[in-house]
Amino acid sequence: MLVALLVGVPVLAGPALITVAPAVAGVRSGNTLQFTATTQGTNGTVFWSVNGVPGGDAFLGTVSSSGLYTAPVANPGVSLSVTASITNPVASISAVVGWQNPIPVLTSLTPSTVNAGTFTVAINGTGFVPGAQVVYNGVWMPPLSVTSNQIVFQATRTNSGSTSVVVYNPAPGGSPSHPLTLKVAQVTVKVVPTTASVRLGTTQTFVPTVGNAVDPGVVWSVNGIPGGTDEFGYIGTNGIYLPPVVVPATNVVFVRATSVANSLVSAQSTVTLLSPVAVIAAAEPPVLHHGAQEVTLTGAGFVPGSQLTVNGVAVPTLYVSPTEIRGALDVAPTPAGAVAFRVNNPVPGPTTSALWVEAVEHAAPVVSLLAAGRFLEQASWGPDAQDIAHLQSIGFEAWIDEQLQAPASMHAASTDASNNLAPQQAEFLNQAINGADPLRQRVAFALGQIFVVSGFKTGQPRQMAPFQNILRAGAFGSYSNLVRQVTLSPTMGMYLDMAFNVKANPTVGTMANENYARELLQLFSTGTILLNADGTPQLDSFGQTIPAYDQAVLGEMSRAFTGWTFPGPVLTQGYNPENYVGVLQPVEVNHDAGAKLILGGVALPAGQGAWADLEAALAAVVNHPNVAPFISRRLIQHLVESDPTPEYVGRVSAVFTQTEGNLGQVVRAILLDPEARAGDDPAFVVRSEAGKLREPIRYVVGLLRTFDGTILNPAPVKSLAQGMGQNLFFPASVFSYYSPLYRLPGGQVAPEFQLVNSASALLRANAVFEIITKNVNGATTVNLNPFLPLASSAPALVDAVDHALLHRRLPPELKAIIVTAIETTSDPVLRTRNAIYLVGTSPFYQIQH
Amino acid sequence: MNHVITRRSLLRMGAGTLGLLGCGGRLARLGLLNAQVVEPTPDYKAVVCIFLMGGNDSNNMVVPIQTALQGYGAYQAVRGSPLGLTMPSLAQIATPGGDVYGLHPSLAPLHALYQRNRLAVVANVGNLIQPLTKSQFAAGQALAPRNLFSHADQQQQWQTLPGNTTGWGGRAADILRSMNLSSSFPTGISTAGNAAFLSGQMTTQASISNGGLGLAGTDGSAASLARNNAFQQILSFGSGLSLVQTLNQNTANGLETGQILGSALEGGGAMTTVFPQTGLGVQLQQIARILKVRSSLGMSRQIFFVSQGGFDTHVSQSMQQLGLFKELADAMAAFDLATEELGLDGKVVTFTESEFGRTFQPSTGGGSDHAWGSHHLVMGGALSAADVYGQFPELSIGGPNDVSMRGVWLPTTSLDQYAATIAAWFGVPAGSLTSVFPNLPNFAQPTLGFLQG
Repeated sequence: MLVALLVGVPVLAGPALITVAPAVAGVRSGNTLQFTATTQGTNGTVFWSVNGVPGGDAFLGTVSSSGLYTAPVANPGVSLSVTASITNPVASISAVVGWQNPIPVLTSLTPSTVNAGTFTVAINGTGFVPGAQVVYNGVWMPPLSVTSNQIVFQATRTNSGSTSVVVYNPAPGGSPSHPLTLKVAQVTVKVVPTTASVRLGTTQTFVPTVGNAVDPGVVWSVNGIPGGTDEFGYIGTNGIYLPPVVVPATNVVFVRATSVANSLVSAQSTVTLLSPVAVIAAAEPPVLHHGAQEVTLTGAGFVPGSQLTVNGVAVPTLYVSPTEIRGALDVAPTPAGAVAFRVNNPVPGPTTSALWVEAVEHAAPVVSLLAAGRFLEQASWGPDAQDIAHLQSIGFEAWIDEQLQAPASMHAASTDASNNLAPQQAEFLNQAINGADPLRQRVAFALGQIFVVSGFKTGQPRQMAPFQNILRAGAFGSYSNLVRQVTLSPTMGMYLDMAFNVKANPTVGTMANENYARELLQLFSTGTILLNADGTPQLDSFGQTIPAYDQAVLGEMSRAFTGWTFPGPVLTQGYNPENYVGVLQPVEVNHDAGAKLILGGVALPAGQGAWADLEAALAAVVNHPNVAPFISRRLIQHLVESDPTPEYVGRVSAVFTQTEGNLGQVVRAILLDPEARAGDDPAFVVRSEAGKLREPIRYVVGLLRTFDGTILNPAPVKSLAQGMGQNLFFPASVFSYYSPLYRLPGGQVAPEFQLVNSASALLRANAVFEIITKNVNGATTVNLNPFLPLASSAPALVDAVDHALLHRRLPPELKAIIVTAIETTSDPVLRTRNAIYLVGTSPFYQIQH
Repeated sequence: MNHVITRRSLLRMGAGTLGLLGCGGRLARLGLLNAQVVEPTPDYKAVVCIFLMGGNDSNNMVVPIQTALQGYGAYQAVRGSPLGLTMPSLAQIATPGGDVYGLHPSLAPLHALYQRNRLAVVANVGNLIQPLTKSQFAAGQALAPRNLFSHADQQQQWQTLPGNTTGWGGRAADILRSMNLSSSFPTGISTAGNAAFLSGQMTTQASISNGGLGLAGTDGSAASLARNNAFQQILSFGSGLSLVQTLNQNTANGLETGQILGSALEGGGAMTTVFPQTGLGVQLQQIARILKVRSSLGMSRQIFFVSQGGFDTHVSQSMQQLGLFKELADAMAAFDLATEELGLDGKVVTFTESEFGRTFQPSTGGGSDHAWGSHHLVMGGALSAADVYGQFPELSIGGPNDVSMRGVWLPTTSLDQYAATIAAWFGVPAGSLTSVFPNLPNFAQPTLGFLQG
């Protein structure tokens, strides 16, 4: 009431002239308040003032002419009255104004979320006045600082959750703001991966995830040591862990990330350290030689216990340093021409290095790999790695000397009269694979295609075995002796009818059988036309060839060979039964005793008897000048090339003549001739007619030998060659398996090509598949082990197969084709088989050159 | 047109089907007739050469019994006991001219064909360069082929003719190759390996075998596809060596032929004709299967070469010939039946070759030796008539046809004439015959008229 009396009511009793409303009011800093003045009976203008200052001022607040009062922002520190006055009559009335602090307004908290613990928060807003107080979650907290729009305070809280922040301005008018929510959260740290296996020599990146932290940073440590150590490895601020160089005694270490925001919060990863993968960067020596030697490998990732393997086989290994080890090797000749090095590292986490291909060469070759390989294709059943190494050690001449002395592989004597040559075919094939006398066998095989008998007529073991033995025994002897033995062979006597050749019988009307005499001349000695010493035909003045003999001579020769029968009791008449032990013997009464005029114009007197006629007839044959070039050319064709030059034939023929037909010396001359050896120089461009096709038996045996093969069951092996046109011991005719006269459509002489046609060409390819992939249905084995360790590198594998089959002559274009093809599989066995198939079927292998 | 049925061919067909099919043949015959009319083979012809390797002793293949020239006695007088066939054992055939001959008893199946005008004999054919008399030959006054008694040389010359490197079959195919241009399948097919007979300047030949037609290990996997692909790529890679190139060519041909033939034979279906499973029987069966798919192969002219070995009968000939001729006759008869089954009656001519005949005079040991002229067989529906064509030699030692004293017959019909008759029927125009047979102008009568159509 007192106030009412003092303020807003007339000071005089009686009806007041002016009143103001409200009479008493509080106004907050900067706010406005409308005063309304009411006058009685007058209509004068009302004047407004504050504390007597008309219109007020900034310090006291202002009042407008319509009575709107605006409080000052700052507390004026004095009592305030707003006065309305009139002048006629003069009257005034004052209202009492109480100035008040503003109500704080909170707009945001910085941060709005804090981590548990002691934290400092800025409260953003307006209307803060000095002395403002913070109530944090119901507790008065003295602020660290107060400005009009920000209050900073600090609080401590260990629990997470939502908390409230309220600000109180002080009196006058002190009142709370509306609350804001401050979230309190725990810091989290995670590290990915949580476990890791890390090989020495590699790095591992760890990724921290820090949750709720004001500061997302972490501090890394290894086994509790910030940043790590030599022993346990290092970790950088980027989280990349670098393992130590050596696996520590305990191969598990802990990589820990600790929150910068809250050092009490961290996470760790359990790291298992594994042996490094060794890396071979160089080998010394870069090329191995056969025999015992030491190799030094440099690279990285070597550890104590590192183990060098050669083609998968561990060898004694010395650890020198993380960048060097040494191995002690004993290297055997290998068809692959290279071995695979890998270094195995031990536990923990054993590893194998990548492939290192190490070449293997002869230490001190007398002849090159190519020369040795070519030579042995001409002189043996096809080289294996040991043969090549041996030849490289001793050279051609010494090798031939060895072969001339080597005991002959012979067929076992047989009395078997059944028509089954399987045992002899088996002997032949096994001797070809395993025999120590390959040159003798090859020459005998060639002679067997000149002096032909065939199982089609002489297919009994008791027939075939002794005849083949004549060829084996006589392969390096004199031609004349061989012809004599062949002529007197009961087997040949059966095949070409010498054993049945009885003199003409005018009563019955029969004539002497011409079969042996004809083939002896045409195929075994002179051929049908006269030859020059270089094997070229002699021509008459019309340019025509000249017959070496005519039908009349042939008839006379046939008469000279009458009267022979099988070995047995000496007969004065009749015949001995079939008997293949010994030599044919005469029955004089069956011999044509008349005079004869035989080859070369030699006259055989009447009555000199079967033996004398035979010896004289054979002498006439052996002395014929055709024999040297004819037989020399045939042997060259079988051993070296199908279409030799006349110069080559001439040189060999001269040796034949000089040595009186010593076949061993003739063979030596054939193999050492410049034309045979020209291709030993890889830069030499051979003439287009060079080379010869591998005949089926050599194709099959050669592949087996190169790949260290064995024959478990000879019959299917024989059949494989038979399918390609060469049925061992069963040539189609006395012209053997293929005609020595056969020419390509263009005219080039190529006897073996008589067996090649569109059907057999595929069968040849399929035979390689049979041998390499199917083991001929279990009848053979091949050893691919020297190649399989290289198979992870297709180029290295193809190089190895090239080494084995082509002695490093595979054209790079073909290598690229084959590499692409075999890379379609990762299976090392399949890769190896396909590489061998593609090189082995390629004409570069099929054509010996 | 080619498929007009003449009265003669109808008769021939009727006789054949009646004989073969018996009482069940009536419907089948109608079917055969329908096939002839409705599905004519558009101008298709094939020739099949059967080469008798070793030199066939045809003196025992065709024996005179009673002819204008001579009787059985002339034969028996020389052949006698070592090699002679008894008269009752011979299968008698009569010529239109009234001569009677006998076929070797093992040739009985061919005797039946002769009776049906499907087989003829061409007598004393041999390799000649020009006509030759006995005295000219003895005096060396005229050109005669080289190395007459050598297997290898004469096998080559019978297929190529003297002085040629290509075969006469291949040269004929060269001239007719336009008829097969739509097909990449080779004109010449051999079941006996490379045959000089089939090699031409432009014509390729292919060999077929009883084995597979493709590469082993083709299993459809990526690795095998890549392997085969590389295999083929390597074939196209040349080198300086002609042998390499030749091998590449053969292999590429084999792949292509195998592929074409393989897919054609898949749709070929079975045949009813049963072939003897002998060496020659199997070869002719393979050819019959190819004839069956001739349309899928796109062929209008085909030349085939097959062979039978073992004819070099120096000893024990009588026993050997029993088997040799049986294999020959059984296989030929089956093949003739197959040509009828395939609707190719009159479209296929089968004929024999052999490098030489054998001495009429026996050799000691029951055999015979290399000689010269010999008789040959021609088979098929295109024969003019069953007959013994040409001039049969006088079977006397030292007689007018014998150039030695052993019964070596100077040919009275040249190989050129024999072959040109076949080539002319096959379609080689008369004006082109000399390019196939360069020596043909040396002979007055270029073709012999044993074929028609």
